[in-house]
Amino acid sequence: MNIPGDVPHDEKLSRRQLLQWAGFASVAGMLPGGCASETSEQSTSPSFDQPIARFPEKVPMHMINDRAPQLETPREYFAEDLTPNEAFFVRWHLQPIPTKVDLNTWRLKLGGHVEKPLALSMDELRKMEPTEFVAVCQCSGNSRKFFEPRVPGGQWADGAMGNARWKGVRVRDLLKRAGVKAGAVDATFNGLDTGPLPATPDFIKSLAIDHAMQPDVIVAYEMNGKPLPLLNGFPIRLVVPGWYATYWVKSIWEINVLPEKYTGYWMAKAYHVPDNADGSEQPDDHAKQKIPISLMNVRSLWVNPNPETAINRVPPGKPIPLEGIAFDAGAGIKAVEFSTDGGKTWTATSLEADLGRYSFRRWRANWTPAQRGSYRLLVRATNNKGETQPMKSKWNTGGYMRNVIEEVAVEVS
Amino acid sequence: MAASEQTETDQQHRAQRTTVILIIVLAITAGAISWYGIRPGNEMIVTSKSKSPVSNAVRAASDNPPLALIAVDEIRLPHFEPMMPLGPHREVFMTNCITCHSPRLVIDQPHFSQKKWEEIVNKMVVTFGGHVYKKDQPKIVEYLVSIRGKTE
Repeated sequence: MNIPGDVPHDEKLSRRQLLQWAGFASVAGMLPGGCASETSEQSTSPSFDQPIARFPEKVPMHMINDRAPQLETPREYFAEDLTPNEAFFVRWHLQPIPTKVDLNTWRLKLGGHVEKPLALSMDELRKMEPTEFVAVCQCSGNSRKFFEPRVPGGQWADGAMGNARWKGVRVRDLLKRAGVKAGAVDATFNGLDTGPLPATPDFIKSLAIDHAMQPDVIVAYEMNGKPLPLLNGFPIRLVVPGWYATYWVKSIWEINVLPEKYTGYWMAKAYHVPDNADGSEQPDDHAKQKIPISLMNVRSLWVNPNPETAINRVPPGKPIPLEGIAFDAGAGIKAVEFSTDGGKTWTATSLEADLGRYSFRRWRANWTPAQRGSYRLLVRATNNKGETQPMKSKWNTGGYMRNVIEEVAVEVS
Repeated sequence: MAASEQTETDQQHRAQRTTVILIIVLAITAGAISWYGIRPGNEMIVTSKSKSPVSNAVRAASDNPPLALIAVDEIRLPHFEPMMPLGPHREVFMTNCITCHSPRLVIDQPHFSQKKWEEIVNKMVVTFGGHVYKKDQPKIVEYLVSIRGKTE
């Protein structure tokens, strides 16, 4: 405090000088030091500053991107069997995305290599025989941020997935109504989202006509008993159960049957994985042959203890309720086991109610740690085909298909 | 102790007890309200004219729900574009790269080598049709490396 009659100002650092220096230092501190950290892998945002945002129709969610929207399912919702619509993850490729669709004028167009091109209204769709089932929708790049070395793309944690009850019409019934001509090869699905520039390839995915004709491929107009949120593809979206979500085109308005293979960018170039058993390659030795991503691999995740909690501390001698989810491409989960000794021995968990082969399956077990110490708990799922998860994570340039055995650290003290 | 003092102490004790009880009741009420309010799954979406989703009873009554009941309100997308860090040719990045996507897409990336950023920028131009002058491409890369670069 500058008390009059105090020590003369030129003999010690005055308050004003101190404040000026502090102000300059703090501004200088805000400017990134030129090249950020050349050797550090960390982003320059502080770790506590996770961007959480509130989008319309949604609870607050971690935001990968705001335009085009990419939002993660908050992890705590994996404790529920059906991921509520308002917490379901969002992922659009292109913007502008549809923010309003008038059902009075909206039509689903079927055309191309068919006898009778159609334009169906929502009313007509809902008059057709419905089918309903529960299915996991998982982004191809779910858990991409855990890849080592890192790869570009949406840096999802485990939240690019959700489990929902889908109700809609079989694509087979739609195609039969239009009458698929002989020589049909592919069916393409086009959503209402468009690119911002003329040259941006439109987001269109294709399925082989035989696949599109399978009874489980539907256009869904309901999600968990309600109309789809706009952010999740209102009025209808494609549901390709067992396949990665890149195929689950949102806001479909056009289905075309083609007499040859579709070669659009989003099928021919994007979303390709190495053509081998596990879609993997080496960072310094990329695969020569690549194919479009398709079926989901076997996966299991922790719900409790929560891997996203900084420290999971439990007391010794008391049973800890272990819980998680497991899913695959539809063969069904045969067993889920956990290990507390780094994978030397495995203990079976009990599987909860089966909501259908495409739904995820909840697993539970009790573990009573006898000794104090730091533990790494692992969980591994095996499906009815005998497929299981690898101990070491696989890598590919796209950051796709992560399904390594998941671990959670627990402090017993 | 004198009688008046005794009464006074009694009154003080009673007053204190009442205060404590009141505080406990308020705390419980506040806790209950907070718990209810932050429970996951609570739909707190407020729209000017909310249309309720069709109920099972309504669906049973008529074959198809009227369109008005299965319509979804128009949404307005918020913008959360981050303030981009300062760096060389920041303005070239800002004028070229946010037509198609928010710069948040960049902020969210880990650190990559110069070579990787060159590949990514090239993809934006060649594959996704970004309008970028040839002389500006290396400037954009330089900015990206300055904020999210690492030596290989």
